[in-house]
Amino acid sequence: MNRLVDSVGDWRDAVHVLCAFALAPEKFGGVRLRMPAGPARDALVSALRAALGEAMTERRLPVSVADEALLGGPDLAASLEAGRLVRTAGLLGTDTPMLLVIPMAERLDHRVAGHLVRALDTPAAAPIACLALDEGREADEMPPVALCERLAISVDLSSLADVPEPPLVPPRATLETARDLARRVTVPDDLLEAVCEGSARLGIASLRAPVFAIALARAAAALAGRGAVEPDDIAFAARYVLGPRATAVPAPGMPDAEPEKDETPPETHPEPPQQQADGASPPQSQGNMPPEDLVVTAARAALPPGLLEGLSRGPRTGPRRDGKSGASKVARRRGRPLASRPGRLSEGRLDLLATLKAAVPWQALRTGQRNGERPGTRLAIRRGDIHIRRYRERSESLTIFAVDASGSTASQRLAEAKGAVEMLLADCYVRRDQVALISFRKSEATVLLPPTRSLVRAGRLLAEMPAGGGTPMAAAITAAAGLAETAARAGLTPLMVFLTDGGANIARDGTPDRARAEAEARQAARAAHALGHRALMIDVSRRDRPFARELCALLGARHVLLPRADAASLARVVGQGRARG
Amino acid sequence: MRIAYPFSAIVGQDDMKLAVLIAAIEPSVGGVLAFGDRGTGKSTAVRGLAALLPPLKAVANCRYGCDPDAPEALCAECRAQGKSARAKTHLRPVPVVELPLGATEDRVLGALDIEAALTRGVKAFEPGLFAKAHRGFLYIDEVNLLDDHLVDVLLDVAASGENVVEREGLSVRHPARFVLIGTGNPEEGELRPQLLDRFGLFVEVTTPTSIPERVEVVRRREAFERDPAAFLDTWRAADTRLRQKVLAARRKVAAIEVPDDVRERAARLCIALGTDGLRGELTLLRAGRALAAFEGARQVTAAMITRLAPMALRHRLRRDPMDEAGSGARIARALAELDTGAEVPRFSMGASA
Repeated sequence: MNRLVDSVGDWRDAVHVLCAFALAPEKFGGVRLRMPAGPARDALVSALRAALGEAMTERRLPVSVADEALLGGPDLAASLEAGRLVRTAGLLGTDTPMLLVIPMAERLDHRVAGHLVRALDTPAAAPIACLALDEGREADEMPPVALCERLAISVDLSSLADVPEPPLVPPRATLETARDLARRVTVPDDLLEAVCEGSARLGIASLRAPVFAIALARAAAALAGRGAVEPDDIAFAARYVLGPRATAVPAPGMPDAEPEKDETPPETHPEPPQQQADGASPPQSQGNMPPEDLVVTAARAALPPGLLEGLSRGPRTGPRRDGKSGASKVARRRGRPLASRPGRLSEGRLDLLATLKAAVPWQALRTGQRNGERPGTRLAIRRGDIHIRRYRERSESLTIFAVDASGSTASQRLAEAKGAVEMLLADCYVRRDQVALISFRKSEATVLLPPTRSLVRAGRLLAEMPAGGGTPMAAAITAAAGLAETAARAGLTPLMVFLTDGGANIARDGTPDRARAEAEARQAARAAHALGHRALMIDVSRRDRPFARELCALLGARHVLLPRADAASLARVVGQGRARG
Repeated sequence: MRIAYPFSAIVGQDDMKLAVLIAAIEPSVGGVLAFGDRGTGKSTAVRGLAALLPPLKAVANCRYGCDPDAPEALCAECRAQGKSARAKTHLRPVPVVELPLGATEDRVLGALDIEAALTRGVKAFEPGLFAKAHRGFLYIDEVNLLDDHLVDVLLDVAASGENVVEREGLSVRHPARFVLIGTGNPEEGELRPQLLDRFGLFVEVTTPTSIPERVEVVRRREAFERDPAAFLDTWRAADTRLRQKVLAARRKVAAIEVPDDVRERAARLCIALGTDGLRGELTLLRAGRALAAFEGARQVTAAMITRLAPMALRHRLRRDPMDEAGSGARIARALAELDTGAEVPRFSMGASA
């Protein structure tokens, strides 16, 4: 019951924020709309369309867009048809104000994102704004960070199942009045300071965030027909601008009413933020709350409980089979484009432009050779001109270290293991590999460090890693495999490295039960093996345990027993593990 | 063309501002690398600086915008036509060219001009971003995520001041002198040490931590967004003063002297820190000269070296990726040791390079 009311409130607020955005879209860079495709999203998009009216034309970004189509360049199809060179302006070169809709934004290529970012930073005559339709499900499935940074508003309705009610867009005349008003709305100094302080307390380094928040507060005030920004507007803006950017969760300067929900099982939808039913106005009773606390509290309300956890724990991962993994590896026709090379047609896709480029300089000569044909009537293309597109799949590899920090390992050789991992990290640094770090102890496996190239952070986390407790082997395998799978989908080549003594003794539910723990570990290993990622287990126990060997066999992992593991030999082993892939 | 945010109105970010000013006064310091959080005004500083500089006199109809007053740096076309001070010229703003992450080699280096090839059947060169950036700034956001091969090409051109294209039957060389400004966020990936060393100055840009400073940034940004023209008027006088200072510094920089004791101090500092090669030392002295010229001094002083040492040297230290103590601290320590006259211990490190 309560749940339904909440989602209606969220829904109204989302419509409201889109209307505020539509008052001055060029000021916001855009909106990131995180929700699955479906009627609800369609309804929101058409609400935005209605609110924008003629202010912006809507263009859809093709999923795989070529540079020429984006930035302009020779249009080959049109050129050939017309018999003369036709240039296209490119999506980003149009001279009308444009709302660029980016479908599947979480899959957006960094290359395309780079162009978009540049267009947003240096608008030409015509302003553009983006609507990024983000269908990401997991915390780390998101559009490129550089783009997110420049999209002011972030609406997360991923828990919304269907349309609670038709979106209510104010009539055109109201919007026009508000648009005029928005330019004149004033911001009291104390509220401006509150936004700045609030964003600092939320750990937001970027100063774009407070600027965006002020702009949104101003639009919200205009939409409500007020000439000055009020605390309500600031709280509203904080929720959509600052909350999603928060990297720290500060105490809001008052007793924390909402306990952190650590026990939420991953399968259930995160509950929508606490929200009152009356929609447009934010929930806080700002009776005597200082404005900067208001900002922080509002931003906190925007964080779903799962995200709060995510801030401190990195991306949530879990076992999942979607049957599609691996497909991308077989089809070697994707990835970042490389310069085309001469080749045969059967080898890949023809790069028409490069082929023509290769042929063109010779036309005068070739057409001259063919008697009776006027030069310039037809292109003479020889086999040697044919160029084939080449792509480079990201060959970057990701090494996932799952380090057993349980008491049994700790007593034996955690220090050595840490030393070894540090050495491996240094090796990764040289190879420009990415690394991720998982620690498992007590009852759970924790992703200490999601995939990164920042070795400094990895080293620091490793040094700080606490030890003690049991060995939740199954959880560790599942976490590592989940991370590997996410990385593989992003085009990386993962390698899981388990440093453990293999003594599983904690079951998934956290109870110390060796038999069940081992059974679950076997099961997890089988599931992980089915994903087909490479793995390596470095057994740091003093004696050879049959269970560790069995686990390796199930994982398809190489088992390396290091009776006297020194860091150098360990690094060598991992190097070999990588090379075999 | 959108109005750029005035350079003088940028709050804080003193290191970043100083570094780009030095690069503008003395381009031979070799570019600036700014690492830090997003949204801290790195690109604003570059754009503001370019807008602050007076427009360039360029040979009319030259695709590379050659400088008529520098006959030795003319492109082949201008030289062939015997253009020099007599040539027709026009004024153009100092270019700031942004190199996007996904840029192809064609776009950056230049490529075969398809239009000319298709319509006239001639092999012509279509200049790329390097040509556009000639005499201006080339700004690369997230340089640490740029493809390695592009970074190689980039640094090569930046160092040589000339872009050489040998591909698709083309053989073109044209001048490409620009100030390279790279930015990035180290949390997202690091730059290979070899590449780090090729940037002249390195600054770390952090977000202002004091609330009043943050408020001031937002307040000014707000004022600028609401009425750019009026905001510009407010800051025009300050920008003009700064422009005069930069121009005067450019004229004077060649005449700045470096006293022997300052030279020695720079050398001893580099040895103490074990920086590889001599590039650090050269950059430090060049930056010192630019700073002296900017501040209206006749010669470089020891205090200037102290001030510039972190930005000229910190990215050239041998690095242990696990080392927690920042390189800035190491430089401060080495400087302190120099001043107390302590013997320099780590001689062998410098010699091994």
